[in-house]
Amino acid sequence: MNVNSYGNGIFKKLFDLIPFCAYVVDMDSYEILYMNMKLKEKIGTNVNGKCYKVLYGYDEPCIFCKIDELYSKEAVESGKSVVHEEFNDVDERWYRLEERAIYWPGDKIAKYSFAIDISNEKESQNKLAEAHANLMLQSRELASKNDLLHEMYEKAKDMSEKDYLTGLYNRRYFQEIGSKLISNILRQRDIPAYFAMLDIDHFKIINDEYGHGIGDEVLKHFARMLEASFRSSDLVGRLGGEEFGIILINVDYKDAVRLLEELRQKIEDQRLNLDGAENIHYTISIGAVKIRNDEMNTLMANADSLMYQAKSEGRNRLVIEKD
Amino acid sequence: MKKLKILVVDDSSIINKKLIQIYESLGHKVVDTAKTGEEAIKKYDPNKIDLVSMDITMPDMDGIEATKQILAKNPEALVMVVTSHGQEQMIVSAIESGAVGYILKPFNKERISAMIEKILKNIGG
Repeated sequence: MNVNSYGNGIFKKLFDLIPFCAYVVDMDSYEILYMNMKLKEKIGTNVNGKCYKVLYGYDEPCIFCKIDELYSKEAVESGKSVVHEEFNDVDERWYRLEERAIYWPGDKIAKYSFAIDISNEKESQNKLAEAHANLMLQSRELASKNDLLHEMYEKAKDMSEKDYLTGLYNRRYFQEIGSKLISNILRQRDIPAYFAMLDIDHFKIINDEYGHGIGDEVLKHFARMLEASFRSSDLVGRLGGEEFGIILINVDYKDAVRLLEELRQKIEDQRLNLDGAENIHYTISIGAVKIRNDEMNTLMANADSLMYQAKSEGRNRLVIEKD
Repeated sequence: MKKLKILVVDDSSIINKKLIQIYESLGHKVVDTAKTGEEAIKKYDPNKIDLVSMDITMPDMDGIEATKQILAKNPEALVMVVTSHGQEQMIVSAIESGAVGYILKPFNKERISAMIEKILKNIGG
């Protein structure tokens, strides 16, 4: 027996004593050169073939293979070792692999590995990872439920405040906000403000002649005109079927007349071409009062009377409280 | 539980086989398999597939990247990642990328069933 095989014999005897799996792999061909007793007990003695197939059941080299890292004289000389943890899909256990490059008889550089079963240790780590993952999944669920709730809240809020057809504030909300606005204005004393009631003339006739679909389009058209004609600091709302209200802030008598007259004229000049009807035309009657020491209801009633006055005087006009 | 059409993505044929066996024993149908992230992206079709079983560790494109790309085109896609990594980061990354669930190795049929049920519950299915 020559020195080499004698040395090899001792190597093998020692390795057979180790209580975990040890094996040697040819780094060129991936063939298993040696398996210790423990590994043989695991997978059988007459097993030949590529390490990745025999040990891991893969058709190609393991994705975590360390052969590239270890394949060099330097690695052998330096005794560099690589330690990593991998899950074995064949026996479904976790292993800590400690691997080094060594010289092997026949002028080979081989990789020898110790594979230590750490499945139990991994279990507690896995539990931690799972707890974290579950937490993340839960918080994502909550976030999307939260988004949904937020969305529903906004929709509900909108529906309670706004008129569905025109998108303007509805009567209830207009009165609510309007009251607050008026208290603020009066408290400040030197802010002139006007309240106007606007009504589409002969709206019932429009509905009867063209149908409610066209009637609705006229209402929507007027709402857009109102929004375009006034500032966001003014309050605009739909108060009834064809009735609208505005609170104009920081306008004096001259401004109020100008703004409301401009609107009236602009409406008069409009020609609407809608689905199923051409050249639709309408006018409005407006009643406006200055905001003094008055409650919302009183203001609305007063503006209303002036608006009716406008109607009885021929419609398509503005009646405004004298300065 | 609703019967799902599943796409199993894994570069290991052993794992593919194991998962097919488990999913079908739970009453689902594995309608297709893929070995790489790219293949998974090509094969995903919202009309043909209800759930993607996506291995995280694959060569070239990993499962997390494939998940991101599938979700980019199909935001409603359900992707469940499969991983042996005990490291938190992998599962967390997967969930951050849009995965709706995960399966850890070694596979446990009851836990897989529970995870699928949970996913279906969350989407109101």
